[in-house]
Amino acid sequence: MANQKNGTLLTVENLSVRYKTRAGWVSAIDNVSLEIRRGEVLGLVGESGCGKSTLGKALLRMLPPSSRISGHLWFDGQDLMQLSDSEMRRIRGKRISMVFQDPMTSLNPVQRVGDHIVETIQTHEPKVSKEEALERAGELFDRLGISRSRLKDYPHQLSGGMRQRVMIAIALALKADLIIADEATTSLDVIVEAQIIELLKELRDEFNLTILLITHNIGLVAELADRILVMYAGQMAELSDVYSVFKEPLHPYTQGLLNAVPNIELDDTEELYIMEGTTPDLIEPPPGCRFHPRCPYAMPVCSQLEPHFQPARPEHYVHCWLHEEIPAEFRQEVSA
Amino acid sequence: MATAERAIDQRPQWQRELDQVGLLRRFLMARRWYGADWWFAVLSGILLLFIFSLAIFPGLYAPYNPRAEVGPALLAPGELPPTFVLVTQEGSGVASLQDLAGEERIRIGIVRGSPAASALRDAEGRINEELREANAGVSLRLRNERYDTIDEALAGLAAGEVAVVVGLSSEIEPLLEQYPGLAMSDESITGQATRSFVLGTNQLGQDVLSRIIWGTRIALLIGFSAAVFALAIGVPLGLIAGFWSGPIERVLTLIMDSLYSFPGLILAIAITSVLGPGMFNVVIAIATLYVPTYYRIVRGQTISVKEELYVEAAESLGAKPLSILTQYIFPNVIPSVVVIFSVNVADAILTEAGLSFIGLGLPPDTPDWGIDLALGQRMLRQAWWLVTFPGLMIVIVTLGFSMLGESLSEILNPRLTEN
Amino acid sequence: MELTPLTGICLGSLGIVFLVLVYAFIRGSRGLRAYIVMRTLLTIPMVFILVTIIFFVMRIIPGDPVTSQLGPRGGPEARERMTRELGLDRPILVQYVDYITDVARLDLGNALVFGQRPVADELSERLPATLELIVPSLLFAVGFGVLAGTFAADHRKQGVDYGLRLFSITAYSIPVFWLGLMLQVIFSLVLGWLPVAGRIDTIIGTTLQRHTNILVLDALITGNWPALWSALKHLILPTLSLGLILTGVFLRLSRINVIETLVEDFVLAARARGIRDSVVVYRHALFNALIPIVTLIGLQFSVLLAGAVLTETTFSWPGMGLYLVDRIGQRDYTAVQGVITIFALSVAIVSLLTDIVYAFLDPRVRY
Repeated sequence: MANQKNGTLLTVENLSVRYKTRAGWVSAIDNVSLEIRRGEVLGLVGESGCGKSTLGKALLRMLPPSSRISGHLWFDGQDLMQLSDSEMRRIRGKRISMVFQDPMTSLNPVQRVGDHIVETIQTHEPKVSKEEALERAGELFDRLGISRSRLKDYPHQLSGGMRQRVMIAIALALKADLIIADEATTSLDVIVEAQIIELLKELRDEFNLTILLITHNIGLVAELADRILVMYAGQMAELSDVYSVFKEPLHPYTQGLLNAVPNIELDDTEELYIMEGTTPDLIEPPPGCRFHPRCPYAMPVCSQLEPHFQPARPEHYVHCWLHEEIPAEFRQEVSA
Repeated sequence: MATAERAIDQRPQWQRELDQVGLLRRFLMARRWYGADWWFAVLSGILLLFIFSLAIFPGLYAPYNPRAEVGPALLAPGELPPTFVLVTQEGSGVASLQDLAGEERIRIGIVRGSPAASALRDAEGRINEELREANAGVSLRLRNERYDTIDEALAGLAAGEVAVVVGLSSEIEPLLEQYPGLAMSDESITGQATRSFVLGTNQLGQDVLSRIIWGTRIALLIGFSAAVFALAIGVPLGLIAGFWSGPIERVLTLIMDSLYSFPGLILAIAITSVLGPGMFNVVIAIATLYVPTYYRIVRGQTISVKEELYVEAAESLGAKPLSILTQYIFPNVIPSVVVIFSVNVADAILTEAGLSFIGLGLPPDTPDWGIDLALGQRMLRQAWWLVTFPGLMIVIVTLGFSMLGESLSEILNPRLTEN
Repeated sequence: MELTPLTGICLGSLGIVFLVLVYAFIRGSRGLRAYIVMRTLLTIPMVFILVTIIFFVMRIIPGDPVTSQLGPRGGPEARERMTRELGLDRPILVQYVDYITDVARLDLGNALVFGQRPVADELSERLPATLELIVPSLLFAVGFGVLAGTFAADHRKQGVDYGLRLFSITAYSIPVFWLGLMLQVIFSLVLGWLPVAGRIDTIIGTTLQRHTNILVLDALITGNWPALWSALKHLILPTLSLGLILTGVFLRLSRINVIETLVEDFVLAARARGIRDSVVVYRHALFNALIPIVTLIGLQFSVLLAGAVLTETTFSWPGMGLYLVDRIGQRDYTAVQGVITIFALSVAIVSLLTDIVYAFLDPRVRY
């Protein structure tokens, strides 16, 4: 792990996001606080609808206009929530950039791929000439293993893997401090995905990148991340370094996630693990701990009171009554 | 039977709901969901109801008969008709035209070409009728002496060439000072209270307001007839073509596509120019224009629904094509057809106005907006109101139908993107 | 085929179409080439059908051109002579074949009135006038419509958006000739800023040498500035009335397209790169939305022609539309048939052109 500078790059403080739908207000993110350290890869895991994509977009302040955000985003000494639109725009792409899930739809179909990069460069560094920007794009392509002749191609002329490399190139164009990879490999087949992961590893080491890796694929996180944050129903469930989480998952949900990964050595008698229940309704979330309806270890307190996100072990945080002192009134009498 | 029925009812959710919720209830429920568009539909509906009432009961709204000459020609909106007064020698004892009734002919001076002549004629006729009814035994006989200007006429009066001068009070008044011996009568020769016309009169003296109100009936009649004809031909053809493809259908579709791409007005011009004028011919011409539209849309929808059904109910058990058509395809087609119909009427009214404007539509004395516009164009310099108001009516009515069509389209065929 | 001016113009425009086809063919992928071939082949039956419909409408429907021409006065010999002249005594199928072959040679017959000149000649005199009217009107409609539509899409659900939507619905509810008349009243009669009708001031017009018969161009070529000024002044009101009517449709389409484009992923991605909002909307979104506009131009061409007929009537603009209306009044069926045929042909060609251009512009189809 190349953590040369261990300062904190981004501090999320009490971030909550709600947005309005026809059926009511959806609480997509509920009071999330975390730190992203410089040079690390933080894996953000959870099932669909747990709020991880919303978090990624919130960091860039790219949520739909019908949403309400509260909290602070401390980035490099500034609270991003206080910035004006044009100030935020200068951050996007230059200091924080994002790699999207589907490169086919995330690239402009009528714009050449090289021009995507050139435009990004020229937007943030207006003095750069087109030739110079194109040259820099070419260098990026070289580094990412794409032939320079492809600079003038249109997105649909490239293969899926190449398109994703282009997206990464765009994100790296201005050497952003933080890269948010939102399901960056989900739409790729496994072989290409493996290539991209290797590429990301190399780039991370070479450029000392800080990456927020948002995915539902826990295996991916194991390969690439330094720390993992598990999210459930818009809240943080568990946060620690990769080894600790894999070796000793504390939150029942994390355990379920890990168990659900099909083991390649599955023999015929073992069944696939299926977690019970479905994703919770975020308009009317379950009271207490949001996971309690599906939790095999649920206790009476779990349906009444929310636990706190606190360290059960050193540097290993969890949001669960199993690892927190239950208040007196809810303590269960252990029957003999 | 059960399997096929179950298979057939794999229709999408909203279709099944459509069975449970009638179109009317769906429309009312739409208010919560569609906001502005719902209000648009309601507002345009109200506007159209008003327009319909204009068309069905024009007599209620129109103050005059549209074809009758009810006032002087080319009167501006709100302008009072000119008052024609008598000027006589002072002391002659003549206060009004009636006083001149007697045995002999009276010499009366008017300005050449002045509208006083026609007003005088009217008055003469009216007075003589009254005298006859009263068995007075005398009548009013006038002989017009024409002068070039009002000044000369007054001079002639002063000189005794004529017994009386009739002219515009506005012209005569300033000149009276020069002729101390002459006096102007108080009342106008028409005698009755004169009133203005809200929207003015045209060159034939017809009331513009009444004409445009009566014009609503013609416009709606033609618009609806054309739309209904087009629907009656286009929809069945479209259903059949969508359901049974084949060489005949392909040729038919090609013909319809060619017609569709052709400029509508010009086709209508071609048809009416050979058929000749007349309301029925106009309706036929316009209906022909829209048959392809119904045909294309209905055919397209039929094809897509049909494909869904054939996939779902692979073992169609002798469910007669006719029942498939009527039970499944037709109800799906109705929302689109309603929308097209609405826009169709709007367009038909515009096309008909265009045809009449060119002179190809209806008989020239019909109170129709297009004809009014054509007549008005000739008098554009003098009488701006002749073109403004009929055109405004066209815009309002067409807008009403277009807006209805638009908002219905949003409600009945919701587009997913407007979120 | 005679080399009339009309023939020249037709061949010229066909030549342009041909060049476009060849260019697209060469630069395009296999998919595009197949499409070009198919689409071009499709035009032939379409033209055929149109011309046939015109023929049948003009001949079969009741109404006798001879009677209309000669009136009740014509004696039997005169009627017979005319019938023979017009070829109306031959069997209908023979007439039909003759008609088709004539049209192919662009021989549109001779007008029945006013010296019986070849219709083709009369049309070629009037074609430049119509062109001078419809081209600027279309440019105005597209330019204004697309920009306003993009603006509305950018300001969705705000007052401006509703206002512009209302404007676009109103635009095609207004009769084009009424708009023309109203503009005449306001700008010519009341304000006196612009001339009421005609193409150019008569006196100045005599000083202008005609080459193309498109007055603005001729004035530019010959450097005749007073003529240029006069021609432009005369052009404003007709262009405005025809253009405003068409604006509505383009506004609606571009608004919808831009709205749909703005929610696409690549727009989000562009914003995430810090690209300025105005660039995102007015360059990226607009360009993507522009491609369907090309198809719309093809569809609106018929509306443009119909509107041109009415506009020319309103402004006494001596183009093909006014010719049509005049000759109908004169019951000159040959001329009427000729004009309508030319209209049909131009619609077919324009729609072919726009379809090909559309296919070419969309890089997804082209490559």
